[in-house]
Amino acid sequence: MKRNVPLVSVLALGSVVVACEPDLSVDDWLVTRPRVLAVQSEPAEALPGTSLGYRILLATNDADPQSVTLSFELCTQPKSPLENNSVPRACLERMQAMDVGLATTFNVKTSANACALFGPNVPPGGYRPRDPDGTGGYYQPLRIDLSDGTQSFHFARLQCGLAGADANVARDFGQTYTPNHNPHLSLRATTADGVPLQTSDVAAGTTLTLEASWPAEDAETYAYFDRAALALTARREAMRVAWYASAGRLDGASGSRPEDDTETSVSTHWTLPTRANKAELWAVLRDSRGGSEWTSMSITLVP
Amino acid sequence: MTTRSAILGLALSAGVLLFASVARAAGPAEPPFEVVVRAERAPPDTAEVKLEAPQARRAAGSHGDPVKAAESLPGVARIPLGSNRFIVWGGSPRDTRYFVDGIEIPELFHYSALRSVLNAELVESVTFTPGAFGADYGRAIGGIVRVQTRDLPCCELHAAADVNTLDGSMWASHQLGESVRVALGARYGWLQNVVQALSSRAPSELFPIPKYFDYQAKTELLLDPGESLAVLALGSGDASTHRIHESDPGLARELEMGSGFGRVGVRYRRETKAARVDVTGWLGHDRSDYRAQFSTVPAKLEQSTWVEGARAEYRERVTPGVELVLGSEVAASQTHAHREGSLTVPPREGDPFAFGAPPGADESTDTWKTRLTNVAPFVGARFTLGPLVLEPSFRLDGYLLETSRQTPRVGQTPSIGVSQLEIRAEPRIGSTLALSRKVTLFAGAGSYSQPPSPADASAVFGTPSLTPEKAVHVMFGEALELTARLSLSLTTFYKALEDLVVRDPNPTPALAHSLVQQGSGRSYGVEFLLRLRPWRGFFGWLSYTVSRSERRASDASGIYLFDYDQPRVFSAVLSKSLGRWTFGARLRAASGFPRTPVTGAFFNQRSASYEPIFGPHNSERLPPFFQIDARVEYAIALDAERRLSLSAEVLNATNHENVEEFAYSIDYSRRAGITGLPLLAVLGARLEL
Repeated sequence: MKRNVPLVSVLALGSVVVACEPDLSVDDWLVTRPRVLAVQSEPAEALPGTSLGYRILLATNDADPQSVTLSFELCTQPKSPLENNSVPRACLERMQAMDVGLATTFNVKTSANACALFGPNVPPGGYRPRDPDGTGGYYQPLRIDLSDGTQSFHFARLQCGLAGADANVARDFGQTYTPNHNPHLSLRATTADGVPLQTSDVAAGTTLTLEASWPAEDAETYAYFDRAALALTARREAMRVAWYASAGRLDGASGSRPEDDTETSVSTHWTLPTRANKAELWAVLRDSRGGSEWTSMSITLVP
Repeated sequence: MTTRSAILGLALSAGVLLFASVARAAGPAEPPFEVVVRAERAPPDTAEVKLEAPQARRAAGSHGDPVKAAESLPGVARIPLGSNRFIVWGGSPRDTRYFVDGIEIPELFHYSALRSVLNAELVESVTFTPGAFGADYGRAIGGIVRVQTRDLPCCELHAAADVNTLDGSMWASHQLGESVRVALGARYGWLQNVVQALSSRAPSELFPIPKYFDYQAKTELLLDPGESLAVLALGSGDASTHRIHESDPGLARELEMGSGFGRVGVRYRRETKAARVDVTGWLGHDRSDYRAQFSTVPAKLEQSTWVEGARAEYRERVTPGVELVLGSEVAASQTHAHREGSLTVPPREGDPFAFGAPPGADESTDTWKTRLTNVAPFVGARFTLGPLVLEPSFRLDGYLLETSRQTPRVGQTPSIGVSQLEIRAEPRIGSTLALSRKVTLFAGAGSYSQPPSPADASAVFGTPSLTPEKAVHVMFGEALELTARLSLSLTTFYKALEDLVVRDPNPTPALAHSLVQQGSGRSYGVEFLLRLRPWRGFFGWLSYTVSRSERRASDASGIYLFDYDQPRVFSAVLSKSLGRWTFGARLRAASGFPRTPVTGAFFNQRSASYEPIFGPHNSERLPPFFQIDARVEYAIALDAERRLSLSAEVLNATNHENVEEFAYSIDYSRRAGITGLPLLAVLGARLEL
């Protein structure tokens, strides 16, 4: 027997609580201890075996500048595919670190075989070339240690060949590719009413608008080997600014301009502290090919 | 080669069919009124557990889904939130195969195992074999889950609609004419919409809550008594998105996953007093998408697979004490895959990882095709020698593995593929010894293999020349009939795994050999099952598994705990029908999965982010899992043909904070647990007519 019954049912919703993510937010922009905020190598991209001039942005805040010392060590171990990190575990170990004391500039020569260790050059016998990063680059890591045990790695961009390209593409790439250059950075601070900051004496609790900008040509266009299309394309660097402060509050700790965004600045708001005597701010600009530049400003707080 | 293998397989299948038809023609004519009693396949697969749908759907925590009740069976590790696959006897989730009326499907559950992919009205029973199964099934080094669908009812319209917090579903069946019965069913999951309505945050910003749907259709052609022909169509789709918004687009993190399958199959069965023939053929399509974006580093893995297969099986009782089995399986699949991103994303079993950590900056891309043809004739016998039953069987698995490229693309060089034929001879045996009417000893052992995953066959990200992984299962135990309704079984198992696919530990792997088959492993343990068959409205079971599962990446490396090792899993399921009421409760407790601790971090100056420094591999665990579910159902007979059931189910009734994963602050200085579903009330109504 066929019956037509409306498919009406009751939907009653009980208390629905969903899985929650814990709050693990960290104000990483707040510099409360000596930290290496940025490292620049000059030139920003070079052939293997080139001596690079390194410059380090060491933010000491109120700590005694002599309370920490620096050392560095060039990583010469390639990374196994087993490892998810950017550097092999072996390069975390202190083996032949060079102590430089308080010096924030030094020279280091990249390995002559860096393109074999970290790049596409593989020994004869059919080995897998390493993969480049998203901009087609290969890098040799340099570990920088602070004497308090903190570690950071700078990645020196190497001029290596292409993997997976035929001879014509490789030749064209060699003729058209322009090595990376470090960008330039300007910092502009204005008060809430848009007036540029003229002095370093500012009332405590003031909110400043900070704008970091760079010349348009510093977001460089470069030749890129598209491994899916097996052809060269022209790409433009993405730019990213990280903000750091010794006190106060930053509304956004970083800002970026993707490749397809032609704007040449990012901004944030910095609310100065009410209780400190002075506050420092650092802006670090990084391009997507490993270049960097930074600037800073120091504010004396007045009641 | 593929064609030859397919022809060989089809010939074998045809041979079985021919044999069956000859047997049918030669056998005595069956009287048209004879009642055929379909017997269950009896032991020796005594580690096997069969759940009948009417009881299983009443189990708490199942939301009325009989297949979902199987997740509480012994030997099954708790399915982690976000996953949808069984973890059986310390095996990998991909080691277990699922069959519906002999049709292989890629997944049995929707994401997070919220639901099975089958409508409850379709399911007759669920049979779970955690290991040491016979030669009639293969391509798995883990377990087998077989779902048998219901015979469609005669003769009027039967329909059911179910609406609850998780989803809504409908089912209808009807007889057309004298000899055709049809049924249609569908379900759509709306938990994400429910959460969206009740939460101020977008569901995608919370833990990934799946969107899902499934559909089923079955047509039965009524033939002679003891003979049936059925066409079954199944399909399922899942999607989930997890997104962490950042004001800086360079820091955004997003993970999207999607999967689905569709199957159409035909099954013919003929049974007589002494013989049975089953022939099943199917074809279908599977898809799987993984897309992740960690700041500026993308990762993508897309797979699209066409599958087809057939199996034929003939069983005959030659003498009262001897039964013979002859059959063949043929399965073929063609996968088109595309992958972009880092070698280490998505992570593999054995990879140390920290939840949310960005992958290495290395990027590559590859598009490849694989083709797998598996032909597996099998033969077996069952000897009953008084109290002793012996069931030796033998399976010959032939794998033809083809991949479109044996090396990565260089320029416009044409692709040279890889083709390899692998033969695996797999003897298996099961036996039981009835010491008395109440005490039975059982044992089983066998050799097993499964083909490599198509996702691993990339010349850029994997190895095109991978061969099948192997396993040896050994199990033995004892079954006690404590009372007419209460039984206790104790099973000891050991699995040895070989040729497991792992990453090449060498800093510079050979070309097109990023993965190697140097992995090995073992798992062993003891499981208890105290089972109460339906008695005075009660039904339930209590299971406890103690096990250990270990892996080794190569002979030269150390042994580590398997990522899914759960040394202790306890489940208690009990339901009671009392007039119109049905009450049920389920308690689950399990050890936490192993995790690799983060002992420090370094700062990556290029990406301006921290990267974790790991301690010893899998040297700590997530906190233990504990959950109590309760269910109550009230049935109202609206009239002679219509019935309304109202149900209320409380999942995690104690609101226990079960940690599903560790999460770290961006500098890895702090850690906290991401907890799973807290108290969740699933209220629903079901109308049947």
